[in-house]
Amino acid sequence: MQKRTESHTLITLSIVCALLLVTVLFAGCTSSTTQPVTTAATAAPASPDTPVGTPVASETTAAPATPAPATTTAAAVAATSTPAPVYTYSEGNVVAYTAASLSGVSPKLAADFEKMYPGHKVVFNLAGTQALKTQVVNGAYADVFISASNAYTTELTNGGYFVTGTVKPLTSNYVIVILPANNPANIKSLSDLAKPGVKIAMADKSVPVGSATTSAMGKMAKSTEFSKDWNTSVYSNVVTYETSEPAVASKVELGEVDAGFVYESTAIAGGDKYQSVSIPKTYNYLQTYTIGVMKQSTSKGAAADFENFMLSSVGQQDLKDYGFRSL
Amino acid sequence: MLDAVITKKLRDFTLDLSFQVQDGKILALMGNNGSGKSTTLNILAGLLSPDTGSVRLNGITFCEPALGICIPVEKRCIGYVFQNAAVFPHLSVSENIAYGLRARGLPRPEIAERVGQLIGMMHLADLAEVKAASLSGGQKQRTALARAIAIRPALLMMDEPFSSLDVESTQAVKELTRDVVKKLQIPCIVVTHRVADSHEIGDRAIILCSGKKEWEGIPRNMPKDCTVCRCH
Amino acid sequence: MKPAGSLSEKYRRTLSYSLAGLLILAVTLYLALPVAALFFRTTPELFWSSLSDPLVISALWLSMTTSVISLAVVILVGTPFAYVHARTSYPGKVIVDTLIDLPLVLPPAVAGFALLVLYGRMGLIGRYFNMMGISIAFTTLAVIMAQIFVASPFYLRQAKSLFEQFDQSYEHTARTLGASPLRTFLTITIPLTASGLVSGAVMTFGRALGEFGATIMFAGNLPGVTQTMPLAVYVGMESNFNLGLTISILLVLISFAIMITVRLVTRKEVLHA
Repeated sequence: MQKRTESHTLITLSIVCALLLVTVLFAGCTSSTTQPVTTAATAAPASPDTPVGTPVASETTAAPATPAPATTTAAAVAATSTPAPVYTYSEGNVVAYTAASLSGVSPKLAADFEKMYPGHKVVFNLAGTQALKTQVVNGAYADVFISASNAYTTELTNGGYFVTGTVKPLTSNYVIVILPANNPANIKSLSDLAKPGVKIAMADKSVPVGSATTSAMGKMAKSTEFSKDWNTSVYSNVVTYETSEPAVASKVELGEVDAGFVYESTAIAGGDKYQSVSIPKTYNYLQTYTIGVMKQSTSKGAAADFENFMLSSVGQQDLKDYGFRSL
Repeated sequence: MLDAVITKKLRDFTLDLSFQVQDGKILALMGNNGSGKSTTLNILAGLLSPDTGSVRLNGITFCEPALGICIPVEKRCIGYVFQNAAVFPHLSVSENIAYGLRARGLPRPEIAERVGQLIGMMHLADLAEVKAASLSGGQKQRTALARAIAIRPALLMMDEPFSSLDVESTQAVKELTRDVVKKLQIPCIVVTHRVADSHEIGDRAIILCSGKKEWEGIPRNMPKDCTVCRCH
Repeated sequence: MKPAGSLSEKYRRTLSYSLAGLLILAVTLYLALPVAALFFRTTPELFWSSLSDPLVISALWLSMTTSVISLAVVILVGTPFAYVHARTSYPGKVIVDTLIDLPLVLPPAVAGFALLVLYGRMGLIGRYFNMMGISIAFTTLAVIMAQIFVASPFYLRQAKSLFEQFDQSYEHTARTLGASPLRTFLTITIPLTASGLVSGAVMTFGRALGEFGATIMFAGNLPGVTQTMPLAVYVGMESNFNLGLTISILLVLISFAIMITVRLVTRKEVLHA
């Protein structure tokens, strides 16, 4: 009897060991575990109408069906929250790494893509382009990459991540300033942003809209209409540099800041949620989005179909409906 | 002299007893587990309150719910040795003995003197600086006794002091207890479940059963069939 | 019994030992390799040079000060609270008990969002503070509040369970000897639960130091004001990889240093019998 329990213990021990060894080997081989995997809080956590309730099986990373915003993971040392969801490729699915500013329009895109190409499905991984780029560079799988910044597109192209010839301009966006619906700080023009006590949210300069904002601000600083002082005052009114464009919008929507620098598409699609103050074209920065098929994709056919859809009149109209500027 | 009349409703029964203990005399409080012995001690110490009754020591009322009198624990000056001796493990033997004196704010020289005396009395001289955690059972009991006596209490209570001791230590502690009680002329209550102990140390004995006094008298006269209480 | 069992005995024993060793190795490697990988990704020169970067310094300073303050608050308020909670039974105790555990299961970003909705200038409570001219969201105070919210359960649970399990006869003895409840608490209860409390404090500090989701949601991300080290890592990863790496390594080193110091200090404690 004792012999049997002993051998039982040994068998259990060896199974546990084997499992652990496999995990260690797996952890060592898969590079994605040695870098932080991030999912940005893109699901506009404030808005109760997050784009999840759509009947189509388009998944957005950030949005579980609850109002809970997506969690973000910090560096390997200081992990604080739930791990990012893993995207496994399955036949017929297109995994689209997409700039977060397309969060609002993504369900419509998914529905229309399926209509145009029945049997195909698209799965969006929405995050700040900077985060997506880091993930891809560290081995994350994507079929298609939609970038909000030429700089990142160039970086990926130079790194040989795209299938040659598939990188095409997709759409564009200007920067705009949005205000909460009730405009608590009574901002009527851009110069009002420099008033003391005004709270402003911007995106971090690593986020495409953040660097666009920096360019626009720089142009305004050099102008005669505004000035360096105005520029300095506005920057001293910034209370937070968010890590994605929708995060800026949500701070504005919550009314916790008086103004936020986002894309025009967000302002237009947001409708009554925001008031806005536009930035004149002379000072503004036109962000160009690009789309490209990834070299690593194992279903380049479906990926190409998705790219065609996005560039087609249907896809372009969808984007236009949500405030993006066609090229 | 201790004069106690106590009633308290407990979970399974009601504790209801009254007794007296004279100065210099030891009362052996006996009974099965859960018969209310420790509860009685806790009430006398002030850790619990009775529902009705009174506790009087040397004429001073410690507790009388009817009159709203209840002196807090730390003011009662009662020496209480718990079942496991409860010596503070992070303090040395002398620090343990000095604890009550420090709490009462006595001057240092006096503390040192009293501690020295007690260490001598309890034969703890080579253990004075040893951390109490590393003492044996008998040494712990002697330390606890010294600590309780140090504050010159008006009443000494010991809860099952011999239960974890070997024969030799038991004898030693019993002798020391008798000496101390005689010298200080204070009443003493010793809770024990062993009849032999009550014979050796008690001047009087009470047997508790479900909170009520089953028998009271001189241990010599204890009925033979009281080794196991008739109740349970 | 035949002595023939001795050979299979030896074999069995070697097998058990090697399996145990394998088990320990596997667990150790799984925890240690990712951390080691951080160090291998940079060079000592790069590391030292980026240490003087103002972004790194401000993140380091901010993280350390906020975490220390958060820990201090948790200990000063949490210890008496845990003691009262452990020693008394009051109406609603079960609910409070559950609430203590809540931040552990709540996703940090949700916690941050909840704090924002409550204390933000449009918030339930925050709006009154705002009327008085006090802002809470997007300040260093918000960082501390977020840290306290997510990290306090570590200390509270530990303290609560320590006090619950603490042998009350020590406390009772001290009381009968003439010590007031406060004196008893400080001279008897705390010293004898100290090493457990310290380990709870260490976990709390570590959690506060590494807090990200609630911070970025409630306090925002502003260098020098609310950009703690984890936030700086996240932002740095995209814009300045090397800085992000440096800060990650700093976090590892600090965590290790704290753990080792604490272990050394508490080893001198006397364990009670």
